[in-house]
Amino acid sequence: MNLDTQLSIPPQVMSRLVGDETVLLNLSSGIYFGVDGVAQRIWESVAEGHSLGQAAATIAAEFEVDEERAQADVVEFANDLVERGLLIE
Amino acid sequence: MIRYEKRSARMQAALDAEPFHRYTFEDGTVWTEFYRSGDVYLLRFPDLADFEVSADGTVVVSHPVEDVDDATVEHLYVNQLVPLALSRQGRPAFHASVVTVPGGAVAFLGKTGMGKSTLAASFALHDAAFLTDDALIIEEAKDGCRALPSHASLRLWEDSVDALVDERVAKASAISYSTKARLLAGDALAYSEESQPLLAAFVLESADASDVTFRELSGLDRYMAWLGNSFLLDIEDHELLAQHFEWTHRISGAVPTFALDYPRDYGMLPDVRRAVRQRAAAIGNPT
Repeated sequence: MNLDTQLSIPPQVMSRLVGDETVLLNLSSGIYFGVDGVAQRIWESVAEGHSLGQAAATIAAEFEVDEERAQADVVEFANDLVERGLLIE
Repeated sequence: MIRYEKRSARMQAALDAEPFHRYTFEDGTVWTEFYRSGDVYLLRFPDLADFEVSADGTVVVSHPVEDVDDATVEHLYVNQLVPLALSRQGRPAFHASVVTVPGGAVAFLGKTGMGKSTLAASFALHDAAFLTDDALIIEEAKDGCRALPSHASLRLWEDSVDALVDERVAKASAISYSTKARLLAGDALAYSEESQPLLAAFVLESADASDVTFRELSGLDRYMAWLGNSFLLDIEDHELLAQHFEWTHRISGAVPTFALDYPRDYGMLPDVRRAVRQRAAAIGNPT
């Protein structure tokens, strides 16, 4: 996985915005997840079809963090979501 | 709608399959085991009864264990099987008591032992009525959510009975799996047979509070409060899980929801009732 990677939401994953946060459900495992803050923004960006690099640029701009740090965080978070079955490559 | 059939007593024979889900008490004691048996669900309450539920949740058949009385089986059916079977039909059901307030009703969401029934009794004994003491069934209408009435009795621990209830309230025979007293609705313990607009929900939290406090829930906290207090028959059925995800989203978004802390002191209940009524009234008339 790298900054050019474009991930997508698998069909067995549902998401809904609840206030400023997002709740996710993996139907395969029956496990619910909640994401907020930076994580929620990364999820939104990926769900909109952006690459991890584009998501990192969004995070860097909106949360005023340096781009290198944002890229590392986005890739780490994306890996975590893929492991949990919430995103697929 | 559910068609209910009571069958004669039978032994709880060992089953070949492993349950796909279990409800257990904190000490590990099994309360309910969920099995699939052919094209029906089998819900086993050890040493009390087995219930078969049709795949679509429209038919429930009880098989009590020998010597378990009718009141116990009926109580299991009303409090456990009805909300679970309705969830299979796509009807939202939650662990909550519900009481009337001016303009509608409010729900008290919470796990066993958090005070749902005591609060319901407190309201029903003082200028209000209860709709249910344990299982909130919601009907979603164009103008919002409505709470449906359940059965006209509620159960309290003896200390709550001693503190709250006088001789005007009729008691029914106890059920065999609990020492709680069963109180019947009547003139002194009012019951609403009518569905009511659900104005708000209060999630019962800390028993260590020193005063009555509210905290409005939003976002994930609100969603999870409803989710964590919901009935769901089949946690492995993807279609049902997806429906459950959606209706929890709709209802948690539609019903103002608050965490409610208050001292578990019977002398504080008038303050709790007053505060809850004021909060419910404020929802309809924001300043």
